[in-house]
Amino acid sequence: MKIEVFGPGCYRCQQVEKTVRDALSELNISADIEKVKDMGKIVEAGIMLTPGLRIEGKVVCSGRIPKIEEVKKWIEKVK
Amino acid sequence: MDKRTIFAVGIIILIFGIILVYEWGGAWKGYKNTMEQSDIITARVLEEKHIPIYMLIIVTTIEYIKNSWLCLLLAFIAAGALQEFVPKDKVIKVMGSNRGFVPYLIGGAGGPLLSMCSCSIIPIFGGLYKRGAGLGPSITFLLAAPAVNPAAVLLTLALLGWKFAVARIIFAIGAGILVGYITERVMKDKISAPEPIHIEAGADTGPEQKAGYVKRILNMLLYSWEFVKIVLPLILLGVIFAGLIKAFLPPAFIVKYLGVGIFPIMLASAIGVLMYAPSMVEAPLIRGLLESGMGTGASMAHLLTGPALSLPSILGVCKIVSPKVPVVYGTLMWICGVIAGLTFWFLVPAFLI
Repeated sequence: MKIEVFGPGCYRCQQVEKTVRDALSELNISADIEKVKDMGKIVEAGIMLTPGLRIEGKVVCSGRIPKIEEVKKWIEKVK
Repeated sequence: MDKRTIFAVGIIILIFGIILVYEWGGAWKGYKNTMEQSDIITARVLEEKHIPIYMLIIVTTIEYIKNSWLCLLLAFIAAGALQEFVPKDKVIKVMGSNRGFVPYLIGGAGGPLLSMCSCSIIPIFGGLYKRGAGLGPSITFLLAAPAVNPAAVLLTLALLGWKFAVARIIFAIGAGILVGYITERVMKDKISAPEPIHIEAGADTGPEQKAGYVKRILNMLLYSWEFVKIVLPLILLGVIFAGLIKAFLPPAFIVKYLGVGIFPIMLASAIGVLMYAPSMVEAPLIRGLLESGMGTGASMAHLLTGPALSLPSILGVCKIVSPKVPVVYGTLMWICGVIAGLTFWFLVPAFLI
């Protein structure tokens, strides 16, 4: 599974990455987590409000830090 | 307008109402007094040369926190309210969908609704531009938003006084619109239009839609706490820098290069264009410099160009548009900084708290 976290590397983006890691370990699933910091790529992905989260090529949330339950739901949906 | 938006607007107006009543109402007097007292303490410390330098830094820190804690608290609550209650995706849609002069106005005034953190501006700029909002309004947003976000304005109000706060809002929006408009005029034929990109529809951008009001207010406070964790270290950094400046940079040096006159204003404006400072640092920093002899014009020039522009932001923008564009708006913004500095220097010749 491919999970991308979009953001220039500020506090909120790190929180999203942490939430994703926690969700993965709670579900016992392994995935590639990629941090995308390049502004050009963030814009190309169609994300305007960072931090953004993309799971398997689908943007699931942007502009906020999702709750761990939400992340779990999104991961299980594409599993 | 659904019920939710009306409720959101109500909450935000309420918060800003409290701030206004507090600042201009009876509490103003007591607030002023504490300010004067703490100034006297610093002056006394400054006179006694044998006091170690770290004490000066500690005193500066305490004094600044004393002056700004209430405004800061309200700023954090306001930031939380904006984050929880403003439907950001809708604001972006409005910004990108109009023609003529209206997008410029929204670009200038809509910034505060969308962003608190200066690092999140560039993706919004890129998104607006690629969605077809036009180069001009996108640049207006990029330049005005960091300088007029509520937290920065309230901090300016607390540490530098209302004249600086009001002038900052007017100059930032005015310069943003002007620079955006001229850049679009100049660059229109020189760069190709952006390839439209597909924006994922239905991506969840807002908080849960159906939560009850009590839960939403709790959410709002949670967001506020989040902002405290991000912004407070930055402010402390600024305050410590201010203390360091007061301790180590001799006032004569500051007066010479950043004092009164046209050259200091030009220099301060140029430093603002190039230097990177997180958008909360500049208010305490400028106050430290003002207390050591910086001119009011130079301060205003720096407050205008500082948060709007920096080398990292220019490099980020280069990845979205042709590098010529940042060169053009950087130069224009520098000129605007000089003009704003001169105007403010003419209106407010000296810094008095």
